[in-house]
Amino acid sequence: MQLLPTRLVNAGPIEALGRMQADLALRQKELSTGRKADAGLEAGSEIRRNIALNSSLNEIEAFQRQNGTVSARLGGAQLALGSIAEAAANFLSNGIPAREAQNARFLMGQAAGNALTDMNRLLNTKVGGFPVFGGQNLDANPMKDFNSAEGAPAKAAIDAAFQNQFGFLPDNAQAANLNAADLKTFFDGPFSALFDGPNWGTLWSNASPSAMKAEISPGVTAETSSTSHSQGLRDLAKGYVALSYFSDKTVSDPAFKGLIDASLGSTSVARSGLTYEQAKLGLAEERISTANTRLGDMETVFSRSLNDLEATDPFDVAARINTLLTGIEASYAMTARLQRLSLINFL
Amino acid sequence: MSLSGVLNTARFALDSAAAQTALVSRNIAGADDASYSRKIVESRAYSTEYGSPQIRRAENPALFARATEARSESASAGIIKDGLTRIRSLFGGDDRENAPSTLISTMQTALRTAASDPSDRVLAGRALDAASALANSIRNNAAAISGQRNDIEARLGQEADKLNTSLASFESLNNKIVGGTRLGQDTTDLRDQRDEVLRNISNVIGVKAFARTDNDIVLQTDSGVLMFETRARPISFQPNSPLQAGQLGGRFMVDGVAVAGQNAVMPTSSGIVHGLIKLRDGATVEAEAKLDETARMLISAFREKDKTTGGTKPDIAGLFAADGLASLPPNGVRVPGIAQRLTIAASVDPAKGGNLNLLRDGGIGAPGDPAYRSNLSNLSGFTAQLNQLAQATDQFMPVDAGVGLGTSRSVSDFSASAFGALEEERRSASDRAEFSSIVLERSTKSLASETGVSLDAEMARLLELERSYSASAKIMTVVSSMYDALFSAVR
Repeated sequence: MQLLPTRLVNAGPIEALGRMQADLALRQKELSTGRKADAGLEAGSEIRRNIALNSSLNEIEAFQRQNGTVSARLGGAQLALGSIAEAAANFLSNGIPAREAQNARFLMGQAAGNALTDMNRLLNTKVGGFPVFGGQNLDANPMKDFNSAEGAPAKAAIDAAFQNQFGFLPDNAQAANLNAADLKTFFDGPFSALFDGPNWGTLWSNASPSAMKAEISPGVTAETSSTSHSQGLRDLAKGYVALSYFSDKTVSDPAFKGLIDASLGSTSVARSGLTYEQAKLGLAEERISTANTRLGDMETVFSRSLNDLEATDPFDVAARINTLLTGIEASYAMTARLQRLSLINFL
Repeated sequence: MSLSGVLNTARFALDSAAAQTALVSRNIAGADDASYSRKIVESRAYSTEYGSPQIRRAENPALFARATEARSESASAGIIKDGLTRIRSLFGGDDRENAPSTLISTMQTALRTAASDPSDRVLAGRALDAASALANSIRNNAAAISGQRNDIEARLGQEADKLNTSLASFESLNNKIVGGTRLGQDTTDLRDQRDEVLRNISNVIGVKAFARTDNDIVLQTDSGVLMFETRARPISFQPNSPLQAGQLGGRFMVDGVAVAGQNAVMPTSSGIVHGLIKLRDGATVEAEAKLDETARMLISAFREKDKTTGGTKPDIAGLFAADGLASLPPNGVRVPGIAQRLTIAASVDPAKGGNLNLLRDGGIGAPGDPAYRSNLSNLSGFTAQLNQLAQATDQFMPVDAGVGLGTSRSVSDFSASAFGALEEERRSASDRAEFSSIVLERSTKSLASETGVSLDAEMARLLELERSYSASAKIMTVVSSMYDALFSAVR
């Protein structure tokens, strides 16, 4: 029988050693990262699924981050609208008895002025520096301040409309001759027109008519801000402005009462409009919370299947490392003993 | 038999023992040399005719042929695997951080975040950076793959030179062996050397050896083209450099016959040359095509339309463009080399004097033309355009069927599939490389176990020789004392 060549005998354990050491390096990497050392090599074209899952997870994370800020915005808008609606209700409930009071003109003018200021302030609410009622215009306050220089064009427009209707300005002495019906006609006609259509955007509001839209979960788009263009706000502003502007003009007290009636009427119409806006915002909030639930579910499912493909079982890896270490030690011992094992040593 | 005859035989045995001891020491010296084969002396201890002992070597032509074949297979599989690993490494580590698929996803996320507050220039800048990183990565990776192809082209030239040198030394060794054999000399060491040269040749190209009389050998490629017959045949390689995207490289010629490359007449199927050419005209070309198609699809996905009602202006490239691209590339047709020219439009890049707001407003491809603009009233919170950009990479669009990944995909899906295809190729190449290296190891081992030197066996042989030497010496002493006794009786 022929003896095995010495070179092969000695090389045996060394060759195994090389393979085991390379394997050990990979397993150690797996142990520290918790992921397969070269998932692509193992999965082949299946890795495509991983890539898709990874981008979906990134996407979900971005949606979740975005929906967080959007919820805060919508919440802020909802709070502001709530306060405005409450103020409108107060204005109505105080206005009906005050109408009969001696100083109705002063009281109501004052109340309307305050309500208008409050409403403007609330509509200019910013959540994280973001004007929530601005629609798609984020560069300016959504509402122009009627009582400052910003309001000058609006005042001029009211004066012009008045002049056009009656032939003189509101602070002209002749205005005292107007009766309640005249003012009611003016309120419902030219004055209302100042709050309608594009006039709202030029005289009162800086917001754009349409709210911002964004995807809140894959394929689902929702309005993610509000706008001060809604009809309820217009009606409300109309009533407030009429009383606060004309209270110190030369119109007679009985005629002003006609204006109070028109204003209260407009306010009560506005309330249903506000309720509609609140419901719309509530709906958007609801959609976002549904979307978040869906995103959370997707995240769970996706990361679970991702783990199936890429993660390693730490116990399994640890066990394999142990086996490898034992093998390597055995191979060291064998190399040393084989070196001693030669016929020469016995001659 | 006379006493002098006994003495003669003993003397011959001493000679033989000396010769065999010399051989044992030669074997021991070669024990660690992989190319050395064990030498055996044909003992003629009983031959009365005196002559030098015949030496032969331990060999097994069948095993040697199998090991040669396995070496060629393993060399080509190894080259292909290394090449694919090099392509794969361009796309980043385990996180694939430099792969188009990853960067597309990052860009999409950034665009979506920018859409949540279009007035935020930081968010818009981040989205633009993500787009720019994507374009840069595709451009650089395409350039790297092109570089790899040209490296291969250069290396093929070196392999041809190497092969010519090897064949020349094969020729000189073969001449010495044939001549020596005819003169009855010991050519075993020369034949070991010639086998070593053959081993080197088989590494470069698949080779088959045919033995003829007088230890002469004829070499053919594994496809049957004559490489060596009494004299070496010329090997040549005409490089096609620089290689353009999608262009196939030069052909590898043996004795004037194309054995690798396009339209090879008798294509070789193993060896480094085969592996290199498969990489050059296969895997790298495919990777290039996929990057080209990804780049073209990106340009197409972010194209801009004439937005005026009834507008008839042609679609133009938007966020993504290519240097020297005059008009939008046609749908579903690969544009070779476009990946190496992919950029983001300068008009939107503040670093190049562009206007970042175009990302929100639209009209990146033609900033001066309002027809392509979406945000006509200049709203700072305009979301429609950014939302559309964020969805662009998910829109289905035509794909060049020649790339082999279907005819209608979204860019993000296409890039993920392209990566998957690469990993699949790498997996099968790695499996093949591992398998062929095991086959090579096995066959080299079984050959070595027949031709290698065992020190123990040689030592045992030495002991035997020592015994027979002292036995022969003893016989001579005995014959001498017999002669002494005879001569004293005569006196």
